[in-house]
Amino acid sequence: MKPTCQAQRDLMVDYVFGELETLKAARLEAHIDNCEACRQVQARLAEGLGAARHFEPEVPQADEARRLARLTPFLEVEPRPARFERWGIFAWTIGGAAACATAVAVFLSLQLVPQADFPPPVNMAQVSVPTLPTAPLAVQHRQLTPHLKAVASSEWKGTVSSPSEHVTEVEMQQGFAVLDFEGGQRRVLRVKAPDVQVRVLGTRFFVEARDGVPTTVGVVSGRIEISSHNQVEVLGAGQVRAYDASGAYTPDRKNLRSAQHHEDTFLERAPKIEPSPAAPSPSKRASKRRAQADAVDPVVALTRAERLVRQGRVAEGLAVYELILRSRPPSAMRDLVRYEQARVWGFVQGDYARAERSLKALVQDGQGEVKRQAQLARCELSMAAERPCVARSCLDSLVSSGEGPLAQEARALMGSWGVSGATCGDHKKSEAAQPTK
Amino acid sequence: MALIDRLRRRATPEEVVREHGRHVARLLYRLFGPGADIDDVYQAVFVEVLRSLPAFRGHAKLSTWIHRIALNVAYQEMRMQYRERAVRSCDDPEPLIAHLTDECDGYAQADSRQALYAGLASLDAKKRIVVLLHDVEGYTLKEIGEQLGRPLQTVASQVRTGRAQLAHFMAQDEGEARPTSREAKQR
Repeated sequence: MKPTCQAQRDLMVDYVFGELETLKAARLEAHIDNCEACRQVQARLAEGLGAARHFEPEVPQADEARRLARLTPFLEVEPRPARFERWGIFAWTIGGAAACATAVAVFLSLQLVPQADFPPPVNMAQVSVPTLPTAPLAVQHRQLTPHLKAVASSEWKGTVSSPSEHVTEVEMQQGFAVLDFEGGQRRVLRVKAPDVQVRVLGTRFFVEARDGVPTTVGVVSGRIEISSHNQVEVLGAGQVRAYDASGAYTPDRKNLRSAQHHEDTFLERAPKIEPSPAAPSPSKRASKRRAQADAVDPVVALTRAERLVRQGRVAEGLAVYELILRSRPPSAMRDLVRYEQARVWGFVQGDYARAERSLKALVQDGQGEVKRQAQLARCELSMAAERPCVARSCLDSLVSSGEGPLAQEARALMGSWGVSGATCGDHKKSEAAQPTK
Repeated sequence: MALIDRLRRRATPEEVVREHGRHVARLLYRLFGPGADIDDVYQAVFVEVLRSLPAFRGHAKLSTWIHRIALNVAYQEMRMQYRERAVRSCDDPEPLIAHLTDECDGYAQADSRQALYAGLASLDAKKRIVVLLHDVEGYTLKEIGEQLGRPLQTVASQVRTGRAQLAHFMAQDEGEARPTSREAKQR
């Protein structure tokens, strides 16, 4: 084949369909006139494409019947009735009108019917909802099998078995357990509890089974598949379901909050507990994966800690700060967390000595904005500890240090406190008589 | 009320197959060539249709929806055929594409339409379906892009290279070795 043939054949289909530019078409025609092989290819292509385009296949009745017969097993299921799209507008109109009418009726009834005639509210105490564990949680991080870990448990009674290489079974008779299962490589965990079976492919979740209350299952991370009363349901992270003899339902918000509380508890406590030394050491890859799973996002955790402190859950907030520091965050984040931690100790808990120590260390080895704020916080701490003269001398030293933003803020603080130099002489004497808190 | 009931009523699976089966079979014959054994692909198309029928929301005509499913299933089948082609050779006792004249013996005895389909079967699935839809079914590049969910420029490029490869595979010179798909692609 000549090199020109190769180039011309690239254009042949375009030529057959008349899509080639005039100049290129002329060149191709000139080439075809002189090249027998290309002429044959062009003729064959034109004939083949023409025939394919006009090909109207016959479909014999016998073939249709045979194919329909092959599809018989798939025809038995009746499809669900579809929504009728063309009537959608009417449906929405009628639905909207009905909703408006209902709203008007409710409004009128509220206006017209005296309050005393209302039926008494439902006593929520009569509604059977599962209760979350009253006994304290034992956070243990105990390795039950190489891939199954009991993160926490309370009054837990159950057995763990491995019927086959890839399957682990937990039969839970009673109690509450948070389990962490490392999936992959066809590993499956089955949890059997009263009224419910859970199939897990790798996640963290909890199961609670107690006498007289429905079995509750919640997912902390990942997804699990639950079967109960011949119904299968998949739960995602943050979802909680309760199962009793009559079926499944979602517990009320109180329980959902409790589930969130449990999750917080795990996050705070889990890294403090080391795995049992008796547990078989997982592979390096599995350890790395687990370490990644347990890694704390400092920004998220910091927000959570601040929220906890604002809610009055100071100890839990401080535990989260500690958790962040243990996760070895970047230096700027570490300084920020130490600063926030010291503020909580000093201004919320009143532990001035501890806060002072922490802030002093931060001033010595901290950097940037956090260091500046720590210097100011030390002065504020003295003021909060009712030592105005110490606070004033602290501010004086900051003001005299220069004209930067730190000095400006110190000056502003001094003005707002109104601490004069005259009162400090007396106060210093009284301070000397009092022991430092 | 009877009219509304009739309009609301959705066709049963058997009615769907009976109504659209002929169209699907014709489409598959046009995609895979005359005499092709399309039974398996046909079944795969309707299994997919019946499985997805509850999710059909009626935004397009049912026939359009089924046509698109048929195209996708046919494309998957072409991919599978091309993969099989890669692992098999002309020395295999079983012919590669049974319904076509044995391409290993050359196209000399085949009629032009069979030769064309054999040439198309030698293209990789992406180009094969695009060339088929454009040059055999007569769709525009834009329509093909919409049906297959590919950008217009990609479709245009695939048509161009597919056509060039098809022409090279159709070239039957005495003593001229047919280029492999990879060689044709490298040109």
